[in-house]
Amino acid sequence: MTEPYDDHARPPDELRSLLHDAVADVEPRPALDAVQARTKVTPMTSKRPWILAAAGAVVAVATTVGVVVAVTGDDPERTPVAAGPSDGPSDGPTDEAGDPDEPSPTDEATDGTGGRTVAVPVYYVGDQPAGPRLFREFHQMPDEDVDASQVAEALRAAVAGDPLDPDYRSGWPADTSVTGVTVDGLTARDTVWVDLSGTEDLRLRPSGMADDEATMAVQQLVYTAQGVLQTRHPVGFLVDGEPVGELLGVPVAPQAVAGDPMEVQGSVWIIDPQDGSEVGTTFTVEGRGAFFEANVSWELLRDGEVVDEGFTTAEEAMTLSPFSFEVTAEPGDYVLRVFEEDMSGGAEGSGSPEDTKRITVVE
Amino acid sequence: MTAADFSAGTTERWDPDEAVERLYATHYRGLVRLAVLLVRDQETAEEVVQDSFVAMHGRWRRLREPDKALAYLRQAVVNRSRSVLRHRGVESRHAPTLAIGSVAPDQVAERLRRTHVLDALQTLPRRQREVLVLRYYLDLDEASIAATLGISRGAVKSHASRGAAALRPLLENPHD
Repeated sequence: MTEPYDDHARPPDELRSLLHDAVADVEPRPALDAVQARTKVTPMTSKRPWILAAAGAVVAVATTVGVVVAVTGDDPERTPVAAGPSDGPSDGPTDEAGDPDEPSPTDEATDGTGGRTVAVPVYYVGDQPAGPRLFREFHQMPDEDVDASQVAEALRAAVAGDPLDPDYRSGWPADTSVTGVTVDGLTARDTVWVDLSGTEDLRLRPSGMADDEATMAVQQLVYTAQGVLQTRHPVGFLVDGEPVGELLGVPVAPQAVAGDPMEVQGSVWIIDPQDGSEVGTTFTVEGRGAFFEANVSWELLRDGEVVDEGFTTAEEAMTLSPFSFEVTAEPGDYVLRVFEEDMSGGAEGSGSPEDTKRITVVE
Repeated sequence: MTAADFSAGTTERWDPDEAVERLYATHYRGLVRLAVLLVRDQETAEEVVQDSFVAMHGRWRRLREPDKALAYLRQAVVNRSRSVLRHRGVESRHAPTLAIGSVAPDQVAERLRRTHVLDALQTLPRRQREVLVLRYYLDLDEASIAATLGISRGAVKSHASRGAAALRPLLENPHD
C-alpha cells in the first residue's frame, strides 16, 4: 500500500492524505480468534487438518461416519458447512465470458448475498463407437465459498444426470445421492472423499451394467471433482459413511485416480456452443478431439438435411487437441455435428465418433 | 516479508489456517481502515473484514498466493461493504457522528476533521466512493481498480474525476 502512485493523472496529495488521516486513529480490536473460531473444523477421526467440509445438509454431515466434521462458531450461516443450494442461480451476473478453468477473484467474489453463480465443469457419459466415454459440460451453479461445497454441487449434477445435451447421461443408478464431500488437504496428493448413498448397495455392479459403463460412472465423479478443484486429487469413496474398496464393482481402493484421457474422454468433443445455445449468424465452434491425421469434419443440419459442411484440422493428430472453426448460417434451429471421417473404410465397423449440439441461430 | 519466511517451502504449502494467520497479521488493520472508509462505522467494518477472511480461508486452495489472496480480500471487503450499506437502508445511512465527549480538547479539531471526511465520503454515490478509496487510500492503479470493482477503466476514470470534484469543497475547507 505504500508503492508510489505512477499514474499519469497523479492525484492531489491532499485527497490521499485526507483519506489516510480520516482512518489514522482506527485501531481494530484483535479478531484473529474470532476468525479462527469460524474457520476451524475439528476432525474426530484424524489429526490431519480437515480444512473443508460440505454436505447436502448439516444433518448429512453428522451422519457421515468416518468424516464427521464439527464446525465451531456461533453463526451457522457463516460456518463453512454448506447448507445446500439455498440460493439458486439468481439475477446476478454470470460471467460466462471468463475462463472457468482459471477461477480468479474477479469472477468469483460474492457480495455476501449468495447471488453469484459460476460455471462449473460437470462430466457426463456419452456413447462413441468404441464405447461409453466422458464429455464435459459447464453448468451455472451458485458460487460456493467452500471448495468442497462446490465439488458436492458439481457431483450432484453429474450423478443426477441432467445434462444440457440429451445425448449424454449419468452413469449412475437412479436414486444415487451425493451426501457429502470432504477435501483433506491442499496438494494433489490429498484425497477428496465422496460419500454416496443409494437404494441399492452401490458397492455392487447392478445387473445388466457393462464393465465399461461402471468404469465411466466412477470416472465421471473423479473427473468432475478434479475439474472443479483444478488439481488431480485422488478420490476416495464412501457408501453410507463407510469407506469402500469397490464401487459398482469397480476397484476404487484406496483411492480412484483419473483414467487416461485417451481412454476415458470422448474423442470428439464440442466445447462451445453448448447444447441448446443461441448463437449469432456467424459463430465460432470450439472443441477438442483425437483425430486421425487431425482432420475434423463438420455438418450443419436443419430438419435432418445438411445445409452446410466443412472441415478443419485439429492442432495435432491422434491425440486430444483443440480445434475451432467458424460457421455462418441464417437464423433458425440447427443441429451441429462434428465427427471424424471414417478413414479406415469401415474396418472398425462401428461408425465414426461424433458429437452433436442443438443450436439456435439468431440475428 | 523476507526469504526466511518461505524457508518451509513455497507459499503454496501454506494451509488455509496459516494463510489466514499471516495475512491477518499483515493486513487486518489496513483492511478494517479500508472498510471504515466505505461503511463509516468501525464495528460494521470489522465484521465485514472478518467475513472476508472467513471467505478467503474457504477459497485459499484456488488463491494459493498471498498477492491473489490480498486482491481477493480487498474485493470481498468492497463487495461486502456494499452489501452492508444496502441492507442498512436509507435511515441510518448517515451514521451518527463519532462521540467526541471523551476526547481531549486538543484532539477535538482532529476528530472533527476526520469525521467530516468520513461523512463526506458517505454522501458520494457508491461507485465514486469505492473508486476514490481504492485509488487514494490503497493507491491502486486504474487497471487494478477496474478489476476489483468489475468495471471498465473508462468508468474508473469518470467515477474518480466526479468523486474528486464532489469532494473538492471539503479539500478546500476541511474544517467547516
